[in-house]
Amino acid sequence: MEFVEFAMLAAAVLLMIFKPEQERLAWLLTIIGWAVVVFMYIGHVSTSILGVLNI
Amino acid sequence: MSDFSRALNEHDIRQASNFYNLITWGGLLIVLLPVGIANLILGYLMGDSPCTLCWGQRQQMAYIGVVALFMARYGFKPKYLATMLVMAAVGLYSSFRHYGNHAMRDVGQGFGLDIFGIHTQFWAEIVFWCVVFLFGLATYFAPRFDALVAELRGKPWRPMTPFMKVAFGIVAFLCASNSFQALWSTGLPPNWGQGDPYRFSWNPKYVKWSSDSWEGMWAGINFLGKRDVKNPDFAYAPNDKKLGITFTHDANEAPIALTGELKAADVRAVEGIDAKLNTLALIRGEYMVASKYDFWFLDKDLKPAIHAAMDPWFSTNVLDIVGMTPMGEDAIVLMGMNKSLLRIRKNPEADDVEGWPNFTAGRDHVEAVGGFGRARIDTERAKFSYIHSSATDGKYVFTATVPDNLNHKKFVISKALMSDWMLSSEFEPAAQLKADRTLGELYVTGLVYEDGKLYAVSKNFNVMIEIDLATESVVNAWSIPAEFEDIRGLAKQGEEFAVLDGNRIVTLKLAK
Repeated sequence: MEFVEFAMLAAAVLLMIFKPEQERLAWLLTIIGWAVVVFMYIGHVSTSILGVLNI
Repeated sequence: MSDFSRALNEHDIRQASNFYNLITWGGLLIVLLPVGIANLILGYLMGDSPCTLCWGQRQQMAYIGVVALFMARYGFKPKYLATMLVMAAVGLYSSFRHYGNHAMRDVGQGFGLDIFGIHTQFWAEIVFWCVVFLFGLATYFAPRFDALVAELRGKPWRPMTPFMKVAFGIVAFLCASNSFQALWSTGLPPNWGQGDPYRFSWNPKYVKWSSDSWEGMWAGINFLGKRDVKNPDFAYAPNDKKLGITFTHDANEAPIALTGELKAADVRAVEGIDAKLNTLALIRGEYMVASKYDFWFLDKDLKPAIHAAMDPWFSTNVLDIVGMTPMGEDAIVLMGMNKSLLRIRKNPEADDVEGWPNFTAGRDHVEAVGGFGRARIDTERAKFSYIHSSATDGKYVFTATVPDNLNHKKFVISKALMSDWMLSSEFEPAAQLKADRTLGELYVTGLVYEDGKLYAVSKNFNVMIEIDLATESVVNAWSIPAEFEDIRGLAKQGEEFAVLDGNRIVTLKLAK
Protein backbone atom coordinates (compact mmCIF):
# COMPACT_ATOMS: atom_id res chain seq x y z
CA MET A 1 0.00 0.00 0.00
CA GLU A 2 2.84 2.39 0.79
CA PHE A 3 4.06 1.85 -2.75
CA VAL A 4 0.80 3.21 -4.18
CA GLU A 5 0.63 6.13 -1.79
CA PHE A 6 4.21 7.24 -2.44
CA ALA A 7 3.68 6.75 -6.17
CA MET A 8 0.66 9.04 -6.01
CA LEU A 9 2.73 11.63 -4.19
CA ALA A 10 5.55 11.41 -6.70
CA ALA A 11 3.00 11.83 -9.50
CA ALA A 12 1.63 14.93 -7.77
CA VAL A 13 5.08 16.53 -7.64
CA LEU A 14 5.76 15.68 -11.27
CA LEU A 15 2.45 17.26 -12.25
CA MET A 16 3.43 20.41 -10.38
CA ILE A 17 6.71 20.52 -12.28
CA PHE A 18 5.59 19.63 -15.78
CA LYS A 19 1.82 20.19 -15.86
CA PRO A 20 1.14 23.02 -13.44
CA GLU A 21 -2.26 23.57 -15.00
CA GLN A 22 -3.23 20.20 -13.44
CA GLU A 23 -3.21 21.68 -9.96
CA ARG A 24 -6.55 20.10 -9.07
CA LEU A 25 -5.42 16.60 -10.08
CA ALA A 26 -2.12 17.00 -8.24
CA TRP A 27 -3.96 18.22 -5.17
CA LEU A 28 -6.43 15.32 -5.29
CA LEU A 29 -3.59 12.81 -5.56
CA THR A 30 -1.99 14.38 -2.50
CA ILE A 31 -5.09 14.65 -0.36
CA ILE A 32 -6.51 11.24 -1.25
CA GLY A 33 -3.16 9.57 -0.66
CA TRP A 34 -2.80 11.28 2.70
CA ALA A 35 -6.37 10.37 3.67
CA VAL A 36 -5.68 6.71 2.86
CA VAL A 37 -2.51 6.81 4.98
CA VAL A 38 -4.38 8.29 7.93
CA PHE A 39 -7.35 5.95 7.51
CA MET A 40 -5.04 2.95 7.58
CA TYR A 41 -2.90 4.31 10.42
CA ILE A 42 -5.82 5.02 12.74
CA GLY A 43 -7.59 1.84 11.63
CA HIS A 44 -4.46 -0.07 12.61
CA VAL A 45 -4.59 1.32 16.17
CA SER A 46 -8.36 1.85 16.44
CA THR A 47 -8.79 -0.43 19.45
CA SER A 48 -6.38 1.76 21.41
CA ILE A 49 -6.34 5.16 19.75
CA LEU A 50 -4.33 6.84 22.50
CA GLY A 51 -2.03 3.89 23.11
CA VAL A 52 -0.81 2.47 26.40
CA LEU A 53 0.78 5.56 27.93
CA ASN A 54 -0.67 6.84 31.18
CA ILE A 55 -2.51 9.97 30.12
CA MET B 1 2.36 45.39 11.45
CA SER B 2 1.10 45.21 7.90
CA ASP B 3 -0.58 48.36 6.63
CA PHE B 4 -2.93 47.17 3.90
CA SER B 5 -3.88 50.76 3.03
CA ARG B 6 -0.37 51.32 1.68
CA ALA B 7 0.16 50.48 -1.99
CA LEU B 8 2.40 47.49 -2.71
CA ASN B 9 5.87 48.16 -4.04
CA GLU B 10 8.68 46.05 -5.51
CA HIS B 11 10.23 45.60 -2.08
CA ASP B 12 7.06 43.82 -0.93
CA ILE B 13 7.15 41.59 -4.01
CA ARG B 14 10.81 40.70 -3.37
CA GLN B 15 9.96 39.84 0.22
CA ALA B 16 7.17 37.61 -1.06
CA SER B 17 9.59 35.85 -3.43
CA ASN B 18 12.00 35.30 -0.54
CA PHE B 19 9.18 33.91 1.54
CA TYR B 20 8.26 31.46 -1.21
CA ASN B 21 11.91 30.41 -1.41
CA LEU B 22 11.85 29.82 2.32
CA ILE B 23 8.74 27.66 2.00
CA THR B 24 10.41 25.73 -0.82
CA TRP B 25 13.41 25.15 1.44
CA GLY B 26 11.07 23.86 4.13
CA GLY B 27 9.35 21.46 1.76
CA LEU B 28 12.68 20.28 0.41
CA LEU B 29 14.33 19.78 3.78
CA ILE B 30 11.52 17.81 5.37
CA VAL B 31 11.61 15.39 2.46
CA LEU B 32 15.38 15.45 2.01
CA LEU B 33 16.42 15.01 5.64
CA PRO B 34 14.09 12.70 7.58
CA VAL B 35 12.42 11.03 4.60
CA GLY B 36 15.47 10.97 2.37
CA ILE B 37 17.90 9.79 5.05
CA ALA B 38 15.45 7.11 6.13
CA ASN B 39 15.08 5.94 2.56
CA LEU B 40 18.57 6.20 1.12
CA ILE B 41 20.90 5.79 4.10
CA LEU B 42 18.96 3.85 6.71
CA GLY B 43 17.05 1.85 4.11
CA TYR B 44 19.30 1.06 1.16
CA LEU B 45 22.68 1.35 2.91
CA MET B 46 21.95 0.12 6.44
CA GLY B 47 19.13 -2.30 5.71
CA ASP B 48 16.49 -0.65 7.88
CA SER B 49 12.94 -1.49 6.96
CA PRO B 50 10.12 0.57 8.47
CA CYS B 51 7.34 -1.03 10.45
CA THR B 52 3.66 -0.35 9.73
CA LEU B 53 3.50 2.76 11.87
CA CYS B 54 6.97 4.02 10.79
CA TRP B 55 5.83 3.93 7.18
CA GLY B 56 2.75 5.93 8.11
CA GLN B 57 4.80 8.64 9.79
CA ARG B 58 7.38 8.77 7.02
CA GLN B 59 4.59 9.22 4.50
CA GLN B 60 3.00 11.99 6.51
CA MET B 61 6.30 13.89 6.59
CA ALA B 62 6.53 13.61 2.83
CA TYR B 63 2.94 14.85 2.39
CA ILE B 64 3.69 17.94 4.48
CA GLY B 65 6.76 18.65 2.37
CA VAL B 66 4.74 18.36 -0.83
CA VAL B 67 2.02 20.67 0.49
CA ALA B 68 4.77 23.24 1.12
CA LEU B 69 5.73 22.87 -2.54
CA PHE B 70 2.11 23.47 -3.52
CA MET B 71 2.39 26.81 -1.72
CA ALA B 72 5.59 27.62 -3.52
CA ARG B 73 4.09 26.70 -6.89
CA TYR B 74 0.52 28.01 -6.63
CA GLY B 75 0.78 30.71 -4.00
CA PHE B 76 -0.03 31.02 -0.33
CA LYS B 77 -3.61 29.71 -0.38
CA PRO B 78 -5.62 29.25 2.83
CA LYS B 79 -6.40 25.62 1.96
CA TYR B 80 -2.67 24.83 1.77
CA LEU B 81 -2.06 26.50 5.10
CA ALA B 82 -5.02 24.66 6.64
CA THR B 83 -3.92 21.34 5.18
CA MET B 84 -0.41 21.74 6.51
CA LEU B 85 -1.70 22.46 10.01
CA VAL B 86 -4.05 19.48 9.90
CA MET B 87 -1.31 17.23 8.55
CA ALA B 88 1.12 18.37 11.23
CA ALA B 89 -1.50 17.76 13.92
CA VAL B 90 -2.20 14.25 12.63
CA GLY B 91 1.54 13.65 12.34
CA LEU B 92 2.06 14.70 15.94
CA TYR B 93 -0.72 12.35 17.00
CA SER B 94 0.69 9.50 14.91
CA SER B 95 4.18 9.79 16.34
CA PHE B 96 2.83 10.22 19.88
CA ARG B 97 0.82 7.03 19.40
CA HIS B 98 3.85 5.17 18.13
CA TYR B 99 6.18 6.63 20.73
CA GLY B 100 3.72 5.50 23.41
CA ASN B 101 4.29 1.86 22.47
CA HIS B 102 7.93 2.15 23.53
CA ALA B 103 8.07 5.12 25.89
CA MET B 104 8.23 3.14 29.13
CA ARG B 105 11.00 0.76 28.10
CA ASP B 106 14.34 0.48 29.91
CA VAL B 107 17.34 2.49 28.82
CA GLY B 108 18.79 1.36 25.52
CA GLN B 109 15.66 -0.52 24.54
CA GLY B 110 13.72 0.67 21.54
CA PHE B 111 12.51 -0.22 18.10
CA GLY B 112 14.87 -0.13 15.17
CA LEU B 113 17.81 2.20 14.76
CA ASP B 114 18.60 5.12 16.99
CA ILE B 115 20.29 8.37 16.03
CA PHE B 116 21.91 10.46 18.80
CA GLY B 117 20.24 8.09 21.25
CA ILE B 118 16.77 8.84 19.88
CA HIS B 119 14.80 6.10 18.17
CA THR B 120 12.91 6.60 14.94
CA GLN B 121 9.50 6.73 16.59
CA PHE B 122 10.58 9.79 18.57
CA TRP B 123 12.40 11.43 15.68
CA ALA B 124 9.03 11.59 13.96
CA GLU B 125 7.68 13.52 16.94
CA ILE B 126 10.59 15.96 16.65
CA VAL B 127 10.06 16.41 12.93
CA PHE B 128 6.38 17.27 13.34
CA TRP B 129 7.22 19.66 16.18
CA CYS B 130 9.71 21.33 13.87
CA VAL B 131 7.10 21.64 11.14
CA VAL B 132 4.77 23.53 13.45
CA PHE B 133 7.50 25.63 15.03
CA LEU B 134 9.49 26.54 11.93
CA PHE B 135 6.49 27.05 9.68
CA GLY B 136 4.97 29.24 12.37
CA LEU B 137 8.22 31.17 12.63
CA ALA B 138 8.49 31.60 8.87
CA THR B 139 4.90 32.77 8.62
CA TYR B 140 5.45 35.24 11.46
CA PHE B 141 8.10 36.93 9.37
CA ALA B 142 6.10 36.63 6.16
CA PRO B 143 5.43 39.79 4.16
CA ARG B 144 1.94 41.24 3.93
CA PHE B 145 -0.55 38.74 2.58
CA ASP B 146 -1.54 40.73 -0.52
CA ALA B 147 2.13 40.76 -1.53
CA LEU B 148 2.09 36.95 -1.52
CA VAL B 149 -0.82 37.10 -3.98
CA ALA B 150 0.62 39.93 -6.06
CA GLU B 151 3.89 38.04 -6.44
CA LEU B 152 2.07 35.63 -8.77
CA ARG B 153 1.60 38.64 -11.09
CA GLY B 154 -1.87 37.60 -12.14
CA LYS B 155 -0.89 34.07 -13.14
CA PRO B 156 -2.33 30.85 -11.65
CA TRP B 157 1.10 29.49 -10.75
CA ARG B 158 4.60 30.77 -10.15
CA PRO B 159 7.31 30.02 -12.71
CA MET B 160 9.91 27.43 -11.79
CA THR B 161 13.15 29.12 -10.75
CA PRO B 162 16.36 27.07 -10.99
CA PHE B 163 16.23 26.53 -7.24
CA MET B 164 12.62 25.35 -7.45
CA LYS B 165 13.52 22.94 -10.25
CA VAL B 166 16.23 21.40 -8.10
CA ALA B 167 14.03 21.28 -4.99
CA PHE B 168 10.98 19.88 -6.78
CA GLY B 169 13.19 17.39 -8.63
CA ILE B 170 14.76 16.10 -5.42
CA VAL B 171 11.36 15.76 -3.76
CA ALA B 172 9.94 13.91 -6.78
CA PHE B 173 12.97 11.59 -6.82
CA LEU B 174 12.71 10.83 -3.11
CA CYS B 175 8.97 10.16 -3.32
CA ALA B 176 9.63 7.81 -6.24
CA SER B 177 12.52 6.19 -4.39
CA ASN B 178 10.38 5.63 -1.32
CA SER B 179 7.71 4.22 -3.58
CA PHE B 180 10.29 1.82 -4.95
CA GLN B 181 11.50 0.84 -1.50
CA ALA B 182 7.91 0.20 -0.46
CA LEU B 183 7.27 -1.85 -3.58
CA TRP B 184 10.44 -3.90 -3.08
CA SER B 185 10.15 -4.50 0.65
CA THR B 186 6.42 -4.47 1.39
CA GLY B 187 4.99 -5.38 -1.99
CA LEU B 188 2.00 -4.66 -4.13
CA PRO B 189 -1.39 -4.03 -2.49
CA PRO B 190 -2.94 -5.51 -0.47
CA ASN B 191 0.49 -6.12 1.08
CA TRP B 192 1.80 -3.34 3.26
CA GLY B 193 4.21 -2.55 6.07
CA GLN B 194 4.80 -5.25 8.66
CA GLY B 195 4.67 -4.88 12.44
CA ASP B 196 8.08 -6.51 12.79
CA PRO B 197 9.65 -5.89 9.39
CA TYR B 198 12.35 -7.91 7.69
CA ARG B 199 15.74 -6.23 7.20
CA PHE B 200 15.90 -4.57 3.79
CA SER B 201 17.79 -6.63 1.26
CA TRP B 202 18.41 -6.43 -2.47
CA ASN B 203 18.34 -10.22 -2.52
CA PRO B 204 14.75 -11.31 -3.30
CA LYS B 205 15.32 -14.39 -1.14
CA TYR B 206 15.15 -12.16 1.93
CA VAL B 207 12.17 -10.10 0.83
CA LYS B 208 8.88 -10.87 2.56
CA TRP B 209 5.56 -9.40 1.47
CA SER B 210 2.70 -9.60 3.93
CA SER B 211 -0.85 -8.41 4.30
CA ASP B 212 -1.03 -9.36 7.99
CA SER B 213 -1.35 -5.75 9.05
CA TRP B 214 -4.91 -5.74 7.71
CA GLU B 215 -5.86 -8.04 10.58
CA GLY B 216 -7.61 -6.11 13.30
CA MET B 217 -8.03 -3.07 11.06
CA TRP B 218 -10.90 -1.02 12.49
CA ALA B 219 -11.75 -3.98 14.74
CA GLY B 220 -13.33 -1.50 17.14
CA ILE B 221 -12.93 2.05 18.32
CA ASN B 222 -11.58 2.63 21.79
CA PHE B 223 -9.51 5.58 22.92
CA LEU B 224 -8.04 4.15 26.13
CA GLY B 225 -7.43 0.58 24.96
CA LYS B 226 -5.84 -1.45 27.76
CA ARG B 227 -6.40 1.43 30.15
CA ASP B 228 -10.16 1.40 29.69
CA VAL B 229 -10.49 -0.45 32.98
CA LYS B 230 -13.70 0.15 34.90
CA ASN B 231 -13.60 0.91 38.60
CA PRO B 232 -13.61 -2.03 41.02
CA ASP B 233 -16.75 -3.12 42.77
CA PHE B 234 -17.09 -1.25 46.07
CA ALA B 235 -19.53 -1.64 48.91
CA TYR B 236 -20.68 1.92 48.29
CA ALA B 237 -20.55 1.63 44.48
CA PRO B 238 -21.37 -1.84 43.12
CA ASN B 239 -20.00 -2.19 39.63
CA ASP B 240 -20.58 -5.80 38.71
CA LYS B 241 -22.48 -5.01 35.51
CA LYS B 242 -19.76 -2.82 33.99
CA LEU B 243 -17.12 -5.28 35.09
CA GLY B 244 -19.04 -8.16 33.54
CA ILE B 245 -18.86 -10.14 36.77
CA THR B 246 -21.73 -12.08 38.31
CA PHE B 247 -20.89 -12.56 41.96
CA THR B 248 -21.80 -15.88 43.45
CA HIS B 249 -21.36 -16.87 47.06
CA ASP B 250 -21.35 -20.64 46.82
CA ALA B 251 -17.81 -21.75 47.58
CA ASN B 252 -18.38 -25.05 45.81
CA GLU B 253 -18.41 -23.11 42.54
CA ALA B 254 -14.96 -21.63 43.19
CA PRO B 255 -12.24 -22.33 40.60
CA ILE B 256 -10.16 -24.10 43.21
CA ALA B 257 -10.82 -27.24 45.22
CA LEU B 258 -11.65 -26.57 48.85
CA THR B 259 -9.47 -27.93 51.63
CA GLY B 260 -11.52 -26.76 54.60
CA GLU B 261 -14.31 -24.66 55.91
CA LEU B 262 -14.47 -21.40 57.84
CA LYS B 263 -17.42 -20.98 60.18
CA ALA B 264 -18.79 -17.74 61.55
CA ALA B 265 -17.93 -17.50 65.22
CA ASP B 266 -19.22 -14.02 65.84
CA VAL B 267 -20.98 -11.17 64.04
CA ARG B 268 -20.85 -7.65 65.46
CA ALA B 269 -22.22 -4.48 63.93
CA VAL B 270 -20.07 -1.39 63.53
CA GLU B 271 -22.08 1.38 65.05
CA GLY B 272 -22.14 5.07 64.43
CA ILE B 273 -20.99 5.03 60.81
CA ASP B 274 -23.56 5.59 58.09
CA ALA B 275 -21.19 5.19 55.14
CA LYS B 276 -20.99 1.75 53.56
CA LEU B 277 -17.71 0.33 54.79
CA ASN B 278 -15.43 -1.15 52.19
CA THR B 279 -12.38 -2.48 53.98
CA LEU B 280 -11.12 -3.56 57.37
CA ALA B 281 -7.76 -4.00 59.08
CA LEU B 282 -6.48 -4.80 62.52
CA ILE B 283 -3.48 -2.64 63.30
CA ARG B 284 -1.71 -2.71 66.66
CA GLY B 285 -4.76 -4.29 68.25
CA GLU B 286 -7.16 -1.69 66.90
CA TYR B 287 -9.70 -2.13 64.11
CA MET B 288 -9.64 0.34 61.25
CA VAL B 289 -12.35 0.61 58.62
CA ALA B 290 -12.59 2.74 55.51
CA SER B 291 -15.15 3.86 52.97
CA LYS B 292 -13.88 5.59 49.82
CA TYR B 293 -11.71 8.41 51.21
CA ASP B 294 -12.95 8.27 54.82
CA PHE B 295 -11.35 6.13 57.48
CA TRP B 296 -12.07 5.41 61.09
CA PHE B 297 -10.27 3.94 64.09
CA LEU B 298 -12.76 1.90 66.12
CA ASP B 299 -12.86 1.44 69.87
CA LYS B 300 -13.44 -1.91 71.55
CA ASP B 301 -17.20 -1.48 71.15
CA LEU B 302 -16.71 -1.03 67.39
CA LYS B 303 -17.69 2.59 67.58
CA PRO B 304 -15.65 5.28 65.84
CA ALA B 305 -12.92 6.70 68.05
CA ILE B 306 -11.27 8.82 65.37
CA HIS B 307 -12.52 9.80 61.95
CA ALA B 308 -10.54 11.42 59.17
CA ALA B 309 -10.71 11.69 55.40
CA MET B 310 -7.95 12.09 52.85
CA ASP B 311 -8.00 14.39 49.88
CA PRO B 312 -7.60 11.99 46.95
CA TRP B 313 -6.40 14.55 44.43
CA PHE B 314 -3.70 16.47 46.20
CA SER B 315 -0.31 15.73 44.61
CA THR B 316 -0.11 11.98 43.91
CA ASN B 317 -3.72 10.91 43.47
CA VAL B 318 -4.71 8.22 45.94
CA LEU B 319 -8.04 6.80 44.87
CA ASP B 320 -10.49 4.82 46.97
CA ILE B 321 -8.90 3.25 50.07
CA VAL B 322 -8.74 -0.53 49.67
CA GLY B 323 -6.14 -1.48 52.25
CA MET B 324 -4.60 -0.27 55.49
CA THR B 325 -1.33 -1.71 56.75
CA PRO B 326 1.08 -0.85 59.57
CA MET B 327 4.42 0.76 58.84
CA GLY B 328 7.23 1.28 61.33
CA GLU B 329 6.33 1.98 64.93
CA ASP B 330 3.30 4.16 64.57
CA ALA B 331 2.53 4.82 60.91
CA ILE B 332 -0.20 3.36 58.72
CA VAL B 333 -0.28 3.05 54.96
CA LEU B 334 -3.59 3.88 53.31
CA MET B 335 -3.51 2.04 50.01
CA GLY B 336 -5.61 3.34 47.12
CA MET B 337 -7.17 1.16 44.45
CA ASN B 338 -4.64 2.66 42.01
CA LYS B 339 -1.64 1.42 44.00
CA SER B 340 -0.94 4.91 45.25
CA LEU B 341 -0.76 5.48 48.95
CA LEU B 342 -0.76 7.94 51.80
CA ARG B 343 1.24 7.35 55.00
CA ILE B 344 -0.43 8.63 58.11
CA ARG B 345 -0.22 8.43 61.87
CA LYS B 346 -2.47 9.32 64.70
CA ASN B 347 -1.46 12.48 66.53
CA PRO B 348 -3.85 14.21 68.93
CA GLU B 349 -1.78 17.36 68.47
CA ALA B 350 -1.70 17.25 64.68
CA ASP B 351 -1.35 20.63 63.00
CA ASP B 352 -4.54 21.63 61.20
CA VAL B 353 -2.70 23.82 58.69
CA GLU B 354 -0.02 21.23 57.96
CA GLY B 355 -2.70 18.66 57.36
CA TRP B 356 -4.84 20.86 55.13
CA PRO B 357 -3.50 19.62 51.78
CA ASN B 358 -3.78 15.92 52.68
CA PHE B 359 -6.95 15.66 54.75
CA THR B 360 -10.44 16.98 54.28
CA ALA B 361 -11.44 15.88 57.79
CA GLY B 362 -9.74 14.86 61.02
CA ARG B 363 -6.69 17.10 60.69
CA ASP B 364 -6.56 17.52 64.46
CA HIS B 365 -6.15 13.76 64.95
CA VAL B 366 -4.05 12.47 62.07
CA GLU B 367 -1.06 13.70 60.13
CA ALA B 368 0.94 12.63 57.10
CA VAL B 369 4.21 10.77 57.60
CA GLY B 370 7.34 11.36 55.53
CA GLY B 371 6.85 14.80 54.00
CA PHE B 372 3.64 14.87 52.03
CA GLY B 373 3.24 11.20 52.84
CA ARG B 374 2.32 10.11 49.36
CA ALA B 375 3.89 7.55 47.06
CA ARG B 376 2.94 5.23 44.27
CA ILE B 377 3.92 1.73 43.26
CA ASP B 378 4.59 1.03 39.60
CA THR B 379 3.92 -2.58 38.72
CA GLU B 380 4.47 -4.62 35.57
CA ARG B 381 2.11 -7.56 35.39
CA ALA B 382 -0.52 -5.63 37.34
CA LYS B 383 -0.06 -2.39 35.39
CA PHE B 384 -3.53 -2.51 33.84
CA SER B 385 -5.35 -3.82 36.91
CA TYR B 386 -6.80 -2.21 39.98
CA ILE B 387 -6.39 -3.69 43.43
CA HIS B 388 -8.79 -4.11 46.32
CA SER B 389 -6.45 -5.17 49.12
CA SER B 390 -3.00 -4.82 50.61
CA ALA B 391 -0.90 -6.54 53.27
CA THR B 392 2.56 -6.18 54.75
CA ASP B 393 5.27 -8.23 56.42
CA GLY B 394 6.84 -5.08 57.86
CA LYS B 395 9.36 -4.67 55.07
CA TYR B 396 7.33 -5.17 51.91
CA VAL B 397 3.78 -4.33 50.95
CA PHE B 398 1.76 -6.87 48.96
CA THR B 399 -1.16 -6.17 46.67
CA ALA B 400 -3.54 -8.45 44.78
CA THR B 401 -5.30 -7.59 41.53
CA VAL B 402 -9.02 -7.84 40.97
CA PRO B 403 -10.59 -8.89 37.68
CA ASP B 404 -12.21 -6.23 35.54
CA ASN B 405 -14.04 -5.65 32.28
CA LEU B 406 -10.89 -6.46 30.27
CA ASN B 407 -9.36 -9.19 32.42
CA HIS B 408 -11.21 -12.07 33.95
CA LYS B 409 -8.31 -14.49 34.14
CA LYS B 410 -5.16 -12.98 35.55
CA PHE B 411 -4.48 -12.82 39.29
CA VAL B 412 -1.25 -11.08 40.22
CA ILE B 413 0.42 -10.63 43.57
CA SER B 414 2.82 -7.67 43.56
CA LYS B 415 5.44 -7.02 46.23
CA ALA B 416 7.07 -3.62 46.77
CA LEU B 417 9.75 -2.50 49.19
CA MET B 418 8.27 -0.02 51.63
CA SER B 419 11.49 1.97 52.01
CA ASP B 420 11.37 3.16 48.40
CA TRP B 421 8.02 1.85 47.11
CA MET B 422 9.72 0.16 44.18
CA LEU B 423 8.45 -3.13 42.83
CA SER B 424 10.43 -6.09 44.13
CA SER B 425 8.63 -9.03 42.58
CA GLU B 426 5.40 -10.21 41.08
CA PHE B 427 3.88 -13.60 40.54
CA GLU B 428 0.73 -15.37 39.52
CA PRO B 429 0.19 -18.06 42.16
CA ALA B 430 0.11 -21.67 41.09
CA ALA B 431 -2.92 -23.63 42.26
CA GLN B 432 -4.74 -26.92 41.86
CA LEU B 433 -7.51 -25.50 39.70
CA LYS B 434 -10.63 -27.11 38.36
CA ALA B 435 -10.69 -27.70 34.61
CA ASP B 436 -10.67 -24.52 32.50
CA ARG B 437 -10.77 -22.28 35.56
CA THR B 438 -8.39 -19.54 36.72
CA LEU B 439 -7.57 -17.77 39.95
CA GLY B 440 -8.50 -14.58 38.12
CA GLU B 441 -12.12 -15.46 38.78
CA LEU B 442 -11.62 -14.66 42.44
CA TYR B 443 -12.42 -11.14 43.58
CA VAL B 444 -9.92 -10.59 46.37
CA THR B 445 -11.15 -7.85 48.66
CA GLY B 446 -8.94 -8.51 51.67
CA LEU B 447 -5.34 -9.56 52.20
CA VAL B 448 -3.25 -10.25 55.27
CA TYR B 449 0.30 -11.56 55.84
CA GLU B 450 1.50 -13.95 58.52
CA ASP B 451 4.56 -16.20 58.78
CA GLY B 452 5.43 -16.36 55.09
CA LYS B 453 1.82 -16.80 54.00
CA LEU B 454 -0.64 -14.45 52.40
CA TYR B 455 -4.29 -14.96 53.21
CA ALA B 456 -6.64 -13.59 50.57
CA VAL B 457 -10.40 -13.44 50.91
CA SER B 458 -12.61 -13.35 47.82
CA LYS B 459 -16.04 -11.78 47.64
CA ASN B 460 -16.72 -13.97 44.63
CA PHE B 461 -17.37 -17.61 45.60
CA ASN B 462 -16.90 -16.76 49.32
CA VAL B 463 -13.52 -18.38 49.66
CA MET B 464 -10.28 -17.63 51.43
CA ILE B 465 -7.03 -18.87 49.98
CA GLU B 466 -3.68 -19.32 51.67
CA ILE B 467 -0.69 -18.49 49.46
CA ASP B 468 2.76 -19.76 50.35
CA LEU B 469 5.14 -16.98 49.34
CA ALA B 470 8.14 -19.31 49.18
CA THR B 471 6.54 -21.58 46.58
CA GLU B 472 4.24 -18.90 45.11
CA SER B 473 1.38 -21.35 45.25
CA VAL B 474 -2.01 -21.72 46.86
CA VAL B 475 -1.77 -24.30 49.63
CA ASN B 476 -5.26 -24.04 51.11
CA ALA B 477 -8.71 -22.86 50.14
CA TRP B 478 -11.47 -22.55 52.69
CA SER B 479 -15.13 -21.86 52.20
CA ILE B 480 -16.96 -19.01 53.92
CA PRO B 481 -20.70 -19.28 54.62
CA ALA B 482 -22.78 -18.14 51.65
CA GLU B 483 -24.98 -15.96 53.86
CA PHE B 484 -22.26 -13.29 53.79
CA GLU B 485 -22.74 -11.65 50.42
CA ASP B 486 -20.36 -8.70 50.47
CA ILE B 487 -17.14 -9.82 52.12
CA ARG B 488 -14.44 -7.16 52.25
CA GLY B 489 -11.24 -6.51 54.18
CA LEU B 490 -9.36 -9.07 56.23
CA ALA B 491 -7.70 -9.27 59.62
CA LYS B 492 -6.07 -12.20 61.37
CA GLN B 493 -5.56 -12.69 65.06
CA GLY B 494 -4.30 -16.08 66.15
CA GLU B 495 -6.54 -18.70 64.58
CA GLU B 496 -9.34 -16.25 63.89
CA PHE B 497 -10.04 -14.18 60.84
CA ALA B 498 -12.24 -11.11 60.65
CA VAL B 499 -13.95 -9.71 57.56
CA LEU B 500 -16.49 -7.01 56.86
CA ASP B 501 -19.90 -7.92 55.52
CA GLY B 502 -22.10 -4.90 55.18
CA ASN B 503 -21.20 -2.80 58.20
CA ARG B 504 -20.66 -5.89 60.35
CA ILE B 505 -17.43 -7.50 61.45
CA VAL B 506 -17.64 -11.25 61.03
CA THR B 507 -15.22 -13.44 62.96
CA LEU B 508 -14.36 -16.66 61.15
CA LYS B 509 -12.78 -19.83 62.51
CA LEU B 510 -11.60 -22.95 60.80
CA ALA B 511 -14.04 -25.77 61.36
CA LYS B 512 -12.38 -28.77 62.99
